[in-house]
Amino acid sequence: MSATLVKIVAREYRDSVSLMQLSAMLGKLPGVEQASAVMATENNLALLAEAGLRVDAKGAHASDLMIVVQGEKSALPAAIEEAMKSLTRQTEDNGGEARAALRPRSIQMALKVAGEANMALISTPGDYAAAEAMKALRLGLNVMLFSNNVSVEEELALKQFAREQDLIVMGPDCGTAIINGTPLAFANVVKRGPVGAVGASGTGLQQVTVLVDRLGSGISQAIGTGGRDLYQEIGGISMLKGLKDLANDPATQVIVLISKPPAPQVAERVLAEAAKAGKPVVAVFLGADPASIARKGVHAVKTLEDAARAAVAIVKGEKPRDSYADMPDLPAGLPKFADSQRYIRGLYSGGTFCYEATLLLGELLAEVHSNTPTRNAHELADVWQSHHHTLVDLGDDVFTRGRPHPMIDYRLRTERIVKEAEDPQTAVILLDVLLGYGSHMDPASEFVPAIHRARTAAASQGRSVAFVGQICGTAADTQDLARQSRALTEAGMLLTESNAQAVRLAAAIVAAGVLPRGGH
Amino acid sequence: MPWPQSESDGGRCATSHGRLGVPCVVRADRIGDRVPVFASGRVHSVFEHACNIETRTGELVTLLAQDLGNVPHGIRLAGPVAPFEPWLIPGQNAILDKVALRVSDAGMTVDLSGAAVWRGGVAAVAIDTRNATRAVALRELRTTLYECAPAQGFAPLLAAPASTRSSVDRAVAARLSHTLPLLARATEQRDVTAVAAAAARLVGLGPGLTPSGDDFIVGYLAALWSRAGHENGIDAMLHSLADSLAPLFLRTNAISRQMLSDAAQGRFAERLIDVTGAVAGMGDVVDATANALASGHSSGADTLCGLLFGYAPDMAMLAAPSSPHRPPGQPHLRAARLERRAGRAAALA
Repeated sequence: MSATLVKIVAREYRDSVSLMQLSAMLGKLPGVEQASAVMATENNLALLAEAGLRVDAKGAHASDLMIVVQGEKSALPAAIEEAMKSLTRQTEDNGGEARAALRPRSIQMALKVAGEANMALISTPGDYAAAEAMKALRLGLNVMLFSNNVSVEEELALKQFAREQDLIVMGPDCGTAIINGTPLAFANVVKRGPVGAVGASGTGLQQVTVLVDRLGSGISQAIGTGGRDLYQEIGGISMLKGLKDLANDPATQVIVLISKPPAPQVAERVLAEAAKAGKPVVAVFLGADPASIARKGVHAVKTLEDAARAAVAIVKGEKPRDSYADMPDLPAGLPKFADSQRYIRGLYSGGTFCYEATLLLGELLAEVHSNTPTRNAHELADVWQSHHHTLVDLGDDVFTRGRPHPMIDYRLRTERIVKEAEDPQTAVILLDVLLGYGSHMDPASEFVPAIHRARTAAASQGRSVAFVGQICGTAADTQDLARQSRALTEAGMLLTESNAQAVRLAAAIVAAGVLPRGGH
Repeated sequence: MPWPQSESDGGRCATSHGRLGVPCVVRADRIGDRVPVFASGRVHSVFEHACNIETRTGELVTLLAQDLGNVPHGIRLAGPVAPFEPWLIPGQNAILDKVALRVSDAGMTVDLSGAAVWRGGVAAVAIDTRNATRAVALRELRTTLYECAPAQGFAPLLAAPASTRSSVDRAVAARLSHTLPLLARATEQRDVTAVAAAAARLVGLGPGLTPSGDDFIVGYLAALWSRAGHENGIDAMLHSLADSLAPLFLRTNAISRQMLSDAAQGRFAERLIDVTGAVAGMGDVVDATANALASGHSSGADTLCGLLFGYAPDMAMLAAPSSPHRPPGQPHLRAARLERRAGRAAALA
């Protein structure tokens, strides 16, 4: 006589094909006359009764999977066991390995899996980030805190605790680091080498590490601190720790410090420690007078490019120059802009690039406006509307609310490029192009069509616009630097080696009022 | 990176540089008009190309890969993505607002800012037996359905009830042979109570993640909504029916429940809508039917059985075409051609 065995699997959702395959497989097992894998709905339970199958499924719910086998009593337990194995196999086939890799649900669990890890990268909504960071610190881990929206008070508490444990907190809002040769978050693939960097600026770190790589040297460590670390309230705790670690690191020969101007007392403390590092230190505090920074053993420079060049010079045993800036020469006989075209419009995805550009342009030209204002530039009243020379950081919160950062999502920037080209006062559009992990996989694919649209818009009014930019990336970055450069150059963009050079070229163009070759 | 993307507009495998605090952003291109504007919930179920998120109010929002048709409660991604299964896990928290769906536990943000609203309304069809074009369209639908339907679900039982094999199949066939004439009569008489009574015998009935009976009811309701503009009494019946059917939907699982709830409000999946459009003369019936059949294993066929029944609620219309056609589940060359064209089956149901 036939028997029936039922197995209820709670809240098990499998697609119909899997359920059909399961039923078919069970039906073919020795001793099984019929099998069914259906949802445990009222009607299906009633149906089984109508079919003469005595099914005891008390407590079953419509969201449960019901496996029913009918046949020789002795064969049925093995059939159910096979069904369960099959469900498990399906799970594994559907990415079980990757799912297993994600299984740790806490830092403690992840630490067990990771073994000897000594750092945690935390990227959670800001409300939870500080608590997770503190958990990591208590477990003896250094922390890279990618999250933003962490309060100053929380940041201070984390960093003070870390200091007591001889650990570092990189962040919050730390977007870039290269630790033991591994790029973290937004970072480029650079050679390993003798230059160590500590920076309170993500794109600042990217510019310096990329240029060091291009100049033939390499990076030992690039340590991010978060943008507020050198505020009075925080006191530069992470920069001091990074400085100390690099000073003790035998692989680091030269240290580069990168920041906007720190609070005076913090700057004093950092520079005092730098002077005692026992190895050369290059400091670029954007906006600060290099003369006010220079100390014995501390070489002060004004731009990110100069910091990279000075560091590499020191590595090579050369005396670093105070400045590597040269105003570019434009050849004679170039076509003139229209009379109305007098201004530069800078559209940036990197906040530090925009800040550096505003500083440099403010020194070279009057009437510079920006949403990253400096002592020699005005605050832009309406970030959506350019006037005179305007430099906009499109990574500012006002632009990223509800949309991805412009390093990833180029829509806002490409729309703005066309808008600026339509303005009869625009002569030069200045851009930064970031490569590396985290950034857009093919910036040229976004920029080239936008440049063509912008040219068409300007041409329809009888004008031409020049495009100037720099690519912050290395030949080892996945975006293929050579291909990006070629595509952008063919589209007519004038590419320079650094942000500072791009700014100076743009200034030279508007000063001369001529359209260089490439700016069709 | 935990959310590998293949290319282009579907989004980038990238971090958002500390702004959103999550590592990956993907773009959506369509958002169904039944998707709530604000909701929080948890990942409910995950398939290769679809993921359901259950809101705190019990609704489902379905995240769909680009290659799936839209659904009224769905958010469809704009570009190719890796399978959902390894990355999204039931129980993960999710938050939906006007601009994004965030599954922070999976490190994923779906950017909704560029997504157009998709409305899942059916095409109006006038069922007039004197209309030769319409009759041809329905015959094409029936022929394609029975030629290409799989061996499971309602289609083979309706096509050849006498040839059923297992006792469970026989029980389903018996239930259908008893219930469908009641449903046909109730529909003809615009009798809401009787329609609900018949539907109660179908909800949650049969194989599949979305049981065949649920799929059948969805198709049936699609036909009624499609006919409503042309026939007296159907519109009023549908509005009363929504309230009468709602308690029945609690008898099935959450995925089916959402689909039925949408259907009761006149909202349907894109592939089913395409079939109604084709029957209305706005497309190729065979193509549309083949595409709809590619939904799930038997769900597409079960839904089309319901649609055909709703358009022509007499058993003669549901019976399999006479020779030389075979019973379902034995695809011949034409079916094989259609299967190839329809592509991979949707993983949702």
